[in-house]
Parts: sequence; structure tokens; C-alpha cells
Amino acid sequence: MRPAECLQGVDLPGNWHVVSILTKPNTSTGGKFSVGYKAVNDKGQTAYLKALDFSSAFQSPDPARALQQLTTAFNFERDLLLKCKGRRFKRIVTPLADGSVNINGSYGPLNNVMYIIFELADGDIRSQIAQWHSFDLAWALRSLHHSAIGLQQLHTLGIAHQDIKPSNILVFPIEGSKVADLGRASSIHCESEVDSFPIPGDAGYAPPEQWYSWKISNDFSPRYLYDFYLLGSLVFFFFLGCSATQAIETNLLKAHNKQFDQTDFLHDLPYIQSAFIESLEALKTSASKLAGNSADEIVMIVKQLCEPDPRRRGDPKVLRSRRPQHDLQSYISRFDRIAFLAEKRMTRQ
Amino acid sequence: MSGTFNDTYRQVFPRWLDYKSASLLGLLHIAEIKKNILTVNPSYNESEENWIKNKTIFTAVDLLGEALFIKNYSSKKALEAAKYILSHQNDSLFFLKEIAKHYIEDEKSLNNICTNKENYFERKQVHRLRQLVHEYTLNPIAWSDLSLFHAILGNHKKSREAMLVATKLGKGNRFILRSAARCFLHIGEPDVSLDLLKRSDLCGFDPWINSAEIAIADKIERKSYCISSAKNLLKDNNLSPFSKSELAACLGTIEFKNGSNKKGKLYFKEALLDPSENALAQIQWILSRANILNNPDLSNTIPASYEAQARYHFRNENFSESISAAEKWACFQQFSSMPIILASYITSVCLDDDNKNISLIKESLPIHQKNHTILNNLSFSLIRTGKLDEAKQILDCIVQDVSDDNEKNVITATQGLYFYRIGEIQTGLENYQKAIRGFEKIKDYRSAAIASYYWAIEEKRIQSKNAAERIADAKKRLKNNNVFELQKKVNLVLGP
Repeated sequence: MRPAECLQGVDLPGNWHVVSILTKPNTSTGGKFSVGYKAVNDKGQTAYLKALDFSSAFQSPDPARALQQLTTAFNFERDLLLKCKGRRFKRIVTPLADGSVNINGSYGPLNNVMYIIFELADGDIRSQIAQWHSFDLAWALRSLHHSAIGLQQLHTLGIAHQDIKPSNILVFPIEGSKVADLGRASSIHCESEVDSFPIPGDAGYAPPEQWYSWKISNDFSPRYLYDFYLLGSLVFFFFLGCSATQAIETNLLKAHNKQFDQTDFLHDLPYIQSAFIESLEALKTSASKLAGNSADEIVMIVKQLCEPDPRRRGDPKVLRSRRPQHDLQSYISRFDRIAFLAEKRMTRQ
Repeated sequence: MSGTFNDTYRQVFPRWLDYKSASLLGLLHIAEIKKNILTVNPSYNESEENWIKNKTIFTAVDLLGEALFIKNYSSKKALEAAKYILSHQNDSLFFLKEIAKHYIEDEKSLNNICTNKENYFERKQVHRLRQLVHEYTLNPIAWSDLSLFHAILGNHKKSREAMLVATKLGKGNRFILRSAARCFLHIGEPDVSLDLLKRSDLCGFDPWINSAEIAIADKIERKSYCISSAKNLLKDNNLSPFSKSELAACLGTIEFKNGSNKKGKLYFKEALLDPSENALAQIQWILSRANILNNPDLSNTIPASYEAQARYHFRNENFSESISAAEKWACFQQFSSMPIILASYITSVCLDDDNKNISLIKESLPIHQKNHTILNNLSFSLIRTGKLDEAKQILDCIVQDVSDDNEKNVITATQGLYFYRIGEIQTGLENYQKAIRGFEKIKDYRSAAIASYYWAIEEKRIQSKNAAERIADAKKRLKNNNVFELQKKVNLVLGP
């Protein structure tokens, strides 16, 4: 048994009590280094407790380095989360409490287990969709609207999430969807280990330029544009069940008879664009069935957000203006408007 | 007489194909030899673990996505996930099923690739592509494909405009550059082709671009900027033999033209290691000029090698097979008149099947029905089937526009046939004489021999007193110029 697995029944500062161990979220990045619990406080509020497991570092061939990496990553994520909490961002899953607790055992210094307590979500958007009997357009669009707000909130703090995917959008009973897991985020204000990764997030969701380690510039702005692509990819998930990357990759390999090999991003860009267009056509087919009048608008948004060429990614009006390319405001408004229309249609029915 | 295209010289000009065909044929693959090392990806292992623990549509898609990302088509677990997705009856999963189907399916067979006539005949293709470029303005591939389809419909101006947009958007891409080079060559602007290729960053590094630059420079007798880098590229063992095949065939042709058959042979041997269909066609052309190589195996192993097969069967006097290959070549390179001309020539001259030749030409694309040689061949067959008025109308139309010496002579010979058939023997005789002198003037002795053969047939038909002399002359010319396609039947037609 690892130290992080010994928290059940433990009382924590702030009147929190650890109730039971939870099964690990099956797709969360870095989940191997943490253990999840259900916790309650004296007011009856139920929460999710993430206990950090530093013992796994000792299984590594270079324990000192591994331990350093784990602690740095933990501190970095915690600092980002506290920044978000300080700004009272509603669309980011922020911690309710954090700290460390001493457990009984013979683990030496590892007896002191670090933890963070978050609000307990109903699940992620995948688990929500799994419960649907029919496609809920209004819910999907509102979730996208909330996700876009979450990203915009992060961007205002100089944080790029870089790992937006269905399992990282958590769903809460009243507040709706929130962006979670800053474990792969980068901050404009301080460096992190993730900054050096060619693909900081999940490879199955990575934007095309990351496949080639190609960057529009050496400053921080390309990282915001990754988030644009990943937000658009969420739309692919709702309407096609896969990520934009999976759709593009499939169409690319289909066109090249399974024999596509990367050369250089700018050289391969026309092929990627062609595969992207095929993917958009599939999206259009699905959206016109599921979203009716809003289908064209949805496809247009995805076309702009997931544009394979990061130099042209985003709203053309913003690109022509003096506003920064990564301004998400227009998408927040557009998602809000089409979500509102879908909700209105739903209430009429 | 029935004419054929000018085949005195051939170079390995890049093929002009639509994106789908070019990618399926492997012309867009990386030039380097592929190293079949499977990338180790930690997130793949994680997805596999998730799939094993929890078999849902989501974990199946994640695993498939990871497998596709690292191109691991042999994973048993991913295969299991693909089958899991396909087993679902839900229609809304149509795209996931496409992904799964793609994962499970074998690579597409390339036999009979690009032989679907129907696709191209329809103007719908242009309409669809116009919509596509309207919607996705910045996609160079759609512009390039649009340019090709405009060329197939004979709209050179529109084809040029579309290709100019494609080159502005994708000037660093091999597919766009090669398509553009062939496009401008086709519409008579080889300087533009050469300029585009020379200015490209790929020139000097990519064997496909180098071969295009050298071939076009050779055609317009300009100095190539890529010869020295091409020789280095051929020595580079990291490049695949397939990617070097057109470049080797191109340099081999230049050496052959310069009289260095020995050097040329070495290049052609290199081209034969893993040839593209275009390189193979070049080898077939060189074999019709000089016996410098063993005849390569043409057992359909090279996809789309229709031109090579048409040439091979023609040289080996398998005329029906040659026509069949030429018809496929015509579908493969729809904007080109050469395959139709070859098929028409073989049908009327070698097989004496004028009715088939008439239907072959009348069923060809409208763009080909404007080609002077094809129209001449149509008139030739119409005259021989007794449709003299129709033939006369066509001949009168084309005779005014012809500027090429070879075409002029061919048409003059056909006019000779026409006058013989309407009974104006003296005018017919003068036309045949003029045509033969014209061919001799441009040193096309082979065509002069064919014209003399048809002249002899007419003299024999009207039982002229000069018939014997004409027959002897025709037989001599056919023998001296190795007109193999007529030699077998010459005694049957003209008598021993």
C-alpha cells in the first residue's frame, strides 16, 4: 500500500473528513501519481480529494530527479489553481482547500501526504453523454460556451491549458461545465517542465503543428492557439465522437493509403488542410442532422478554431483587427447565442 | 493517312494528377527510405490500459486514435477496439465507424487505379471543386485539382488562373509544384514551369522536383540548375529508389540524347530498381529507340503503368492489348491527347478497323475532338468507310488551323486519299507527293513510308499503270524505316 492510499477515515484541517477512496478517472493525465477520495466537511459539502503519491518516484531509475519533477509539477499546478481561485473564476475547477496530512505508517518522510480538495463533479462530459438517450444540443452548446469562458479566464491570467479534452471538462450539477486539470498548462509568468514538451497534452488531441514541433513564433502566443484548436476539437467530440486530430489523421492516412509520413509542417500543410476539409464535411453531415439551423454556424466556428495553419487560426475579424489573435471573446458570444437559441427551441418543445 | 504523335523525343515530365491519385500512387511519399520503427508512445500504452480496464466507445476511440497517430496497424488491442466500434448499431457513430473501418482495412489495391472514365467526364467535378474553393479559399490542393479539371474540359484560361492561385498558396509543396509545372507546360508556358521549380526551396533537395526541372529545361533547351545536385541526390543512399527513379530516367535520357549510351544505361538501370510508372514509360520509350536494356517485367506490378504497357505492347505488335492499355492511359491522363492518338492510330492502321476508330474518337472527351491529329485520323477512317462528305467537312476545318509541319504533311496525305476516293486522281497524287516530300524535308522518313504505303494502296485500287512502281517503293521504305506495324501485312495488302 502506498502512503497516498492510506487516507480513508482521516480528518483534515478545515473540518474535512476523508470518506472513501474513488476509482481513478480513467483518462486523466498524471493520474498515476495521485489517488482520488471522496471527502465531506462539517457543513455536509461533498468534495473530491486528490492525494499526491510521491512514493512512485522511488520506483524510478533516478528517484531524486523523479521526486523533483513531481514536486515541481505539483507546486506549479497548485500555484496556478490558487491564482485562479484568487480571481474567483467560475469556469475553472479551483481547489476548496489544500495542505498536507501525516498518516500513521512507516513511510518515513512520505508519511506526510500532500492533497488538494476540489468540488465533486458529476463526471466529465463523456460520462454525461454516455447517459443520453438522444443528443442534447442545448446542453452540448452550453458546455462549449462554458469551456470557452474557462479558457478565456485562463488566458487572461497568462495561462494556456494545452490539454483540453472531454475528460478534462467536468460537469457540475448547478454550475454546468468547468475546465479542470492544469497539470499540462503553461504560464507566461513562470516556466514549467511542460514547456519543453513538443506535445504538452494528449497526443490524440494535439494540433497539427505540434506533430512537427513547429511554432508560429517563439513567444507564448502559440500556446493560446493550441487551446483554440482543442476547444474546436470538443465540438468534433460532441458531433462525431472523436477529436479533430483523430478525424484529420484518419482522413490523411486514408488519402495516402495508410502511407503518410511527415516531412516538414509547411510542406505537409496542404495535405493536412485537405484532410481537415474532409473532416469538416463529416462534421457538417452530423451537425445538420443534430443541430438543424445552427449547423452552419457550428461548422464555421470549428473551421476557424481548428484551422490547421496556426497563422490563420481564429476569428478572421480578429485577425484583421489589432486585437490579439487569441481573443476568444467572439466565440464565447457565438456559443452563447446558439446555445440560447437551442435552449429556447427546447423549452418550446 | 492516319497520324500519330511526335515521338521522336520523350522526357520524364511530371504527371498531372488529382491529389487523390497522386497520393495513392505514392508520389507524395517522403523521399527518404522509411525506417519501420514503431514510435514508443506512453499515451498509447495508457490508452491501451484504459481500453483493457473499461471497454467503452470512448476508450476504443482513444486507443484507435493513438494507434493511428503512431501508425501502429498491427496492435491486437486496437483491432479489438475497432471491431467493438463496428459492432455498434448506432447511426450517429458513422464517422467512428469510418475510423474503425480504415484501421481494419488493408491498403487499397492499386490495380486499375484511375481508370474510371465516368468521374471525369462529368462537369459535376468542376462544380464540386468550385464550391470547395469558394468555401475553403486557402486550400491549394482544391485549386490545383480545379485547374486539372478545367484543363480536361479544355478551359486553358481558367485552368491557368486556378493553378496560379494554387502556387501562391502552396509553393513549398511537391504536389502543387509538380502539378503547376505540368500545367504550364501543357498550356504552352514552359518558362513559367521552370521558373516556379527553380525558385522553390525544394529544388536541389527533392528528387521529384529536380527531375521535373531538368526535364522541362531539357525540353526548351535551357540550362538546368539542378544537374549537379541531381547527381548527388542519385548517390544518396538514404533516398528510396522509387523517389529517385524519375530523376535517373531523366538523366539517362539526356545522356542518351548526347550519345553517351553507356552512361545512360547506368542511369536507366538505377531507374529500374523501383520505377514509378512515368519512369517505366520512359524506359519503354528508350527501348523503342535503342536496345540498351533488357526488357523490364511489365506484369502489372507497377500501378498505373498504362503508358508503359501501351508502348510495350505496341512494340511487340500486341495491338489489342496496346489499345486497351492506351484507353486506360487516356483515363489516367485525361488532358493528354497522346493516348487517344495512339489508340486511334493502332485501330485504323494496324487493325484496319475504321468503324471502331470512328466510335473511339467520337466517344473521346470534347477536348480531344479539337486535336488536329485526332480529327485527321477521324477523317481518314470516315473516308475509308465511304463517309466522304463528313470527312471533307472535318478536313476543311482543320487544314486552316494547322501550323505544325508534321501535322500539315499528315493532313495533306489524308487529303490525297480523299481526292483518290472522289475520283480526282491527279490531285490525290499531287497531295501524296507533297506529303512525302514534306516528311522527307523534316527527316520523318517513317511517316513518309506510311504515306507511301497508303498511296500504293490507292494506286493498286484504281489499277494505275504506276501501281507496281508505287508498291515497290512503299515496300522498300517500310523495310528501311522499320515500320514493323505494317511489315507483316504489307504483302497481304499490296501483294507479294
